[in-house]
Amino acid sequence: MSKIISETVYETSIKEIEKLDALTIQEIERHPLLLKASQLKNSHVLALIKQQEIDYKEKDLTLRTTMYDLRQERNGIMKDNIKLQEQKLK
Amino acid sequence: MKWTRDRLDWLLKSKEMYDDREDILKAFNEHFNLNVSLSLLTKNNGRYKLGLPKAWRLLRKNAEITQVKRRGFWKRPDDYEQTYLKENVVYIRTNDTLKHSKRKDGFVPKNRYLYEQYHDVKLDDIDDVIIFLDDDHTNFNKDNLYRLPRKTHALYLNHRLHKVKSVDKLTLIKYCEWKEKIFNLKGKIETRGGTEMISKEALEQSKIRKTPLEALEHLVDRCAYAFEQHEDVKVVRQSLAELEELKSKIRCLAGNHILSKIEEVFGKNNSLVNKIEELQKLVGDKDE
Repeated sequence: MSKIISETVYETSIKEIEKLDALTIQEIERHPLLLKASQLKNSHVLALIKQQEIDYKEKDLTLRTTMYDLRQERNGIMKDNIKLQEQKLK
Repeated sequence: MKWTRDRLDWLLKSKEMYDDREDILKAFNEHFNLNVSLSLLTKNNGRYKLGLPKAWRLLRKNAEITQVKRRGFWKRPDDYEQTYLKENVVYIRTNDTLKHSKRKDGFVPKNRYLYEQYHDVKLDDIDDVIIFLDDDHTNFNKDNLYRLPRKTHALYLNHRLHKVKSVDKLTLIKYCEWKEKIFNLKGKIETRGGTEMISKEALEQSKIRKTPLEALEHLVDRCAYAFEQHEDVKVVRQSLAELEELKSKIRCLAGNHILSKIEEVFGKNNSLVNKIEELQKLVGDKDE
């Protein structure tokens, strides 16, 4: 999913740059909505990037939390194991 | 091992032939079929006062290691260039940089120097920024170095895009370039007095014009432009209201001679007057 968004953003950016390069100032003055549309697209793309980053961080946080839980569980099991071995030795 | 007379004589005879102690040691071991170490030879050099040449290669190597430890830069004998590291930035000094560097010591950032060499261009000290696409500040490959205008780089930083890890860096840069392009075009149109000038700020500007007559001319121009461009009705209505207000103010303050001048302004362009009338009608229809 992340790759798809990244590719979309890249392609859109390049297309828009080419489109804006091709326009002259007179054309933009005649059709100011062209620039406004590009600006809106730009804002939308920024929102996509930010959303993507939030998703990524959320996923990262979930994975980290799971990892810490597993580690805690493992430590608990090891402690129990040590206690059992101590009892056996006694 | 015994240092016999013939061995010492051989060393004294052949010391002129070699420049480095390591070389003479190698030849000595080969000649007498021995395995003498450099430290043992050095020890006996002082003991028998042989006067052998110094182990220059080894000394130079040790000096370089000491230099790196102390000062953080090292010398490469093949191309006589020096580098040092300061907060992730690698600096370089070569014969070229000595001539062109603005610093007294002749060091320049390595990424900038190499970009200039790769692409055969001269970078601007202020406007151009060279970044590493993979965030590895020691990867100086041609594909990894990317040139950015400082404004675009500022956009990249201000939008906190340098912290985004889930999207490719080149994609983010392309996005910034696109944004910068939009800004540039908007700026160009603004300087030409285009559509973006019809805003609150522009209206404020019109109020502080030198004479009421100039302000009036400006407002008439703006109304006509707004009418041509089919701009937002609110803006047009605001401009017309301003126009009426200004007219009434002038009538109150000034005498007949100013009024005649106003008539002159309107008289210059009959089509303008017609246009304003049409505009007033249009706004009136919208109000109804």
